[in-house]
Parts: sequence; C-alpha cells; structure tokens
Amino acid sequence: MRLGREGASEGGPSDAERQEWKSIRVEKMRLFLKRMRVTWTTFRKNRSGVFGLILLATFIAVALLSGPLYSLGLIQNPNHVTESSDPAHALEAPSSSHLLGTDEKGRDVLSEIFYGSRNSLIVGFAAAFITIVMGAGIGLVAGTYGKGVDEVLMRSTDLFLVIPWLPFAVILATFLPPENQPSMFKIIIVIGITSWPATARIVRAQVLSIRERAFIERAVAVGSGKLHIINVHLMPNVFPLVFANAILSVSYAILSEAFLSFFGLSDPTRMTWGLMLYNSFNFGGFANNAYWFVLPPGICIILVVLGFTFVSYALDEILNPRLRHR
Amino acid sequence: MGQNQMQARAFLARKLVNLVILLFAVWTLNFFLFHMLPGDPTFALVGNRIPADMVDTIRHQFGLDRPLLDQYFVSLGSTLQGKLGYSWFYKDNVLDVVLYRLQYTLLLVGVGTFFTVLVGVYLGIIAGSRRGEPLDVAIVGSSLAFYAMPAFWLGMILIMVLAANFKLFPLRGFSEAGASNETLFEAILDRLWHMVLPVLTFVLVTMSEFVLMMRNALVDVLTEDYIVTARAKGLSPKMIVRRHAVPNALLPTVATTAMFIGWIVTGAIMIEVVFSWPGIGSLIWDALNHRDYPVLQGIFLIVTMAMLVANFVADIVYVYIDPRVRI
Repeated sequence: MRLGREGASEGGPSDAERQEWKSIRVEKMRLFLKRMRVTWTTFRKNRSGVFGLILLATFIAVALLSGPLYSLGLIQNPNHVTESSDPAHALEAPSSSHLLGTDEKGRDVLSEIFYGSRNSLIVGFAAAFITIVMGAGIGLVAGTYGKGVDEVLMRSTDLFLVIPWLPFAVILATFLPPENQPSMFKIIIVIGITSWPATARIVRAQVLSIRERAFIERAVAVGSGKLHIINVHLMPNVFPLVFANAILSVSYAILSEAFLSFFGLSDPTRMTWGLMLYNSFNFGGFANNAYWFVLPPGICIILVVLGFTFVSYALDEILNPRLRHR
Repeated sequence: MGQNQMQARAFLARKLVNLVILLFAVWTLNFFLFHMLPGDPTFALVGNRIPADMVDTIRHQFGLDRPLLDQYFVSLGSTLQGKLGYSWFYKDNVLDVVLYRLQYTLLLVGVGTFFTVLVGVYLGIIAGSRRGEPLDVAIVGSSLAFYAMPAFWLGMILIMVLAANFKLFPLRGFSEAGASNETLFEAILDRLWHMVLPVLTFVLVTMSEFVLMMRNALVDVLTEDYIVTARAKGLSPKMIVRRHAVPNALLPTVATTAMFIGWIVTGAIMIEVVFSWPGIGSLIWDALNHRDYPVLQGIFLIVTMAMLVANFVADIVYVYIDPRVRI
C-alpha cells in the first residue's frame, strides 16, 4: 500500500509525519488481515467452494511432489525423453509396475501426470497473471482517463473480443520468435495476450461506477493526481472483482494450453496434460484404444478447471455480494 | 411511426458504419500482424525451408522489399479483389480453399447450435423450475463438467466407446469413401450417420452456457411480482412456468447467443480435427502440418470477418425481438 506524498513538506517528511504514516500502515495491515479472516470464515461455509479448494490443493501437491518423487526414484521424468522411453513396453495396459500403463514411447503414464500437473499449472498461473495485469491495467486506465483514451482502448478491446480465439492464438504461436519452434514460454505469452479483453471490460465498468462516488470527488478536490487515485483509491476497490476473475482465468488458461497443445504447438520436451492428449491422439494411443493413456489427462483437466471455477464462484459470492444475489 | 422508422434507419446506419470500421480494423491488424511480428512475412509465404539467396528473390517478387505503406495499399487493393494469397499445398487460391471448407464448418455449427440452444434451454427450464432439487443439482453439475472438458477429448472418448467399441457410428469423416453406386436416399442417410457423433460432441460441450443462463434467468423471473400475482390467481405451477416465466427468461438467453460465437467456433474447430470433418478446423490442422501459412492467414481473416458480420446481424435481430432495447 503506497501512501500519498502530497502532505510532505519541503526538505522531506518530518519525524512526526513518518510516525503517522507508519501507524496508518499498521492499521491498514490490521484491517486487511481482519477482512481476510472474515472472508475465510464465510468461505468455509460454502460447500462447493471448499470442494474446489480441496481439488486445487490436491493438484498443487501433486505438482510440487513430482520433483521429490523423481529424486527418490519413484517416478520417471518424461521430459527427459530418451532416458524415460522404453519402446519394448509401449502402450502397455496398467500393471503393478506401471499403475496407469505406458504411452507410445513406453513412458510411465502416472509419471507424465505428475510432471504434466506441474507444467499445466505453471502455464495456467503465468498466463492468468499476464491476462490480469494487462486487463486490469487497460481497464483502469480507460476508466480513469476517459474520453479519447477510453474510446481508443475500448474500441480495440471490442475488436479483440470478436476475433476468434483459436485461429488468432495459432497464428501468434506460429509466428512469434523463434518462428516455428514450440516453447512453453511462448504458449504462456500467447494465452496471456489473447485473453485480457474480458477482464479489461469488467474492470472498466467497475471503475466507472466507483469514479462517481464521493471519495473520488474529494480526492480530486484536494488535488490528487490520476495515478495516485488509481493506486490508492481505485485499485483496492477493484481488487475483489479482479481476484475472483483471476482465479477463473487460470482455468481458462489451462484449457487454452490443452487446445494449443492439441494443434502441436507446445514444446514436446515439457510434459503437460494437453501434450499427453496430443501424443495419444497422434501416435497410436487413441487408435489402439489405450484408455489408460487417453482418460487420465482429460480427467485431470476437468477436475482442475472445476476446482478453479468453484473457488472463483464462491469468492465472487463473498467479495461481490451485490453482483450475485441468487 | 415515422419517427420510429427514422430512428431505426439511423440505428442501422450507425451499426453499418461501425461494422465497416471494424472490418477495416481487422484487415489492418491482419496486415500488420504479418509485417510487424519479428518473423518476416517471407516466412509466412514460404516457411523456413528455402535457401537464403532464394528468399531475396521471393521478397522482391512479392514486393516485400518496398516501403511498408506501399505494401499496405497494394495489399488492400488485392484483398478487395478477393486475392488472399496462394496455398502452396493445395495449389489454389486461399479464398477458394477457405470458402470451400467453410461450408462444412457452417453445416456442423448450424446444426449443432440449433440442437445446443434447444437442449440447453430445455434443460435450463427444468433446472430453473426445480431449483435446489436433486434434478437441478444433477443438471447444473453435469453441464459444468462438460464445460470443463476439452472438446477434442470428449470427441475422442465418444469415438472410442460408441464408434470403435460398439461400432454404432462411423469413426471419422463426412461420408463413406468409395460408395459411388448409392442412391440419393442412401447418400443422405450416410452423411447424417456421420454427423451424429460430431454434433453430439458439439452439443455437449457448448450447451452448458445456455443451461446455466436459462436456469438463472428463470430463477430470477420466478421471484418477480407478476409471478406472485399469477399464483394468487390460482394458476398451476406448470402453467406459471410455461406461460409467464419462460417467455420472459428466454429473451436474454437467446439474445446472448451471439456472445458465444467465439466459444462455439473454437469448439467446432477442435471437434472437426478429431472426427476428420473436412471444415476449417481440419484445414488449420493441415495448414500447420504442411507449413501452409498463407492458408492460416486467410482463415484468420475470413473467420474474423464472418464473426463480425454475425455479431452485426445478432445486434439487429436483438432490437427486433426485444422492443425494450433502446435504439
């Protein structure tokens, strides 16, 4: 939380002023923690929200465990393609040595699920972060500055909203440098810069309604600058809305990753659930009815997306009570 | 009356101008996308499988060494003449290739959307009028699960179970290859048979939006005062839902169909790949595999423009079906 500098006298702030700022900061922290506690108490009563949270916690645990389990020799690392492949045992049904069977290269499917969770979640969170920063930034600026700035930003948002996502993302993923070389970083960038418009619209609408409130008028009257108003007054008020939206964006990003992987645009040495489905569709798993290879990644995607959706709905209900009263 | 007509005409004109501006903006975006991206447009034309000295010849041949502004206007001129480039793989004009495939996508999307709206609205009505009952929970829960599913994965599962295992439906394609001596009736039946699984997949993955929206709209409407009045008059709950609630809840649901066009197209594209349906989705897949980048660019331009026009039509239709919308 940054505080305004308008009160500072010539030659830097006095000790008394520093003291006051510090106590304000402490007070704000205390209020923030209190709000968090209240939110958590309400959240706990929301059954689907808690269910979603348990799902997410499970998958995050699986993702975090993949490294340690590999070090212990319990699972393989499918990213090391040659080391983990075993062509003699390709597409084997589940057995005691491979609990979920093997893929077309003879790699252990369970290990792929572990490493896949890690990379799918990384892509999801990173892409959602870009989405939110871009969307919230553009929405805040458009809503605050208004007039020409707003017009230009919102017309381009409209344009990006009607562009069909998949062809656009495919083109970007193909042409962004290095051309024709799939990389996880590129997938993250592509998902991030194609998904911001919806967030920008929501944030702008919220800013427009907050802008009319008396405390903003007061801030303008005492001479606060636009950036100060965004930082101190608008951001904290928009935050709850953005937070629920951000959680939902992670699930969109994970689905988007699967879509792009399915078109062969993701890095074959970075296992994700989408890449597993791509491999199973293209290299024999699907044609040979290898259900043990086709089912698990899809089920993981469904559970994680549902988890994020439930948590987001629950948070939305708590943080934005006026928006959802059903 | 006269005033209304004037208003309607002004509204139409404004929307039309807006459409033209957006079409132009999309075209410009498409142009700069291929010229501003760090990858040279030569790469878009031929990919990186050609020796460096030939690249210069090609650059000159296509005018890529001329100033950007020159290229912009030359390119605009040829687009207006319907020249979108040449497909290296199909040895044909991009426009012809894309338009040919587009009809198959439109068939799938058209039939699919019809059933999606029908089934989605119907399930939404059932869920909304039985709010909180087990049936409501089951419908909402399963729509959410289908919504969370990648469309291509559901397609794969349906093929594995219904087509490969039980042999109820054909595995792939639009029609049986080599069946030349069939009658017209057999031909139609064969094509319908091939459509069942793609359409089923399409409906399952896209209906959730309609189910949830219809349900929530109905739940909202059922708390209105006029519903209480209807109940006080002694109407049966069934009649209340059918006569008073559904018509009012239907409006926002159907009107927002246009908002999901993007989602619908994305779903259709992936379903096409899984079922080898010869539409735009399979074309993207082939273009990526053959590095046929002019086709990729053409698809982007044409599909985006089709979407803009669809949105424009939806705006107009919305005003007609909902007189409360202020022109």
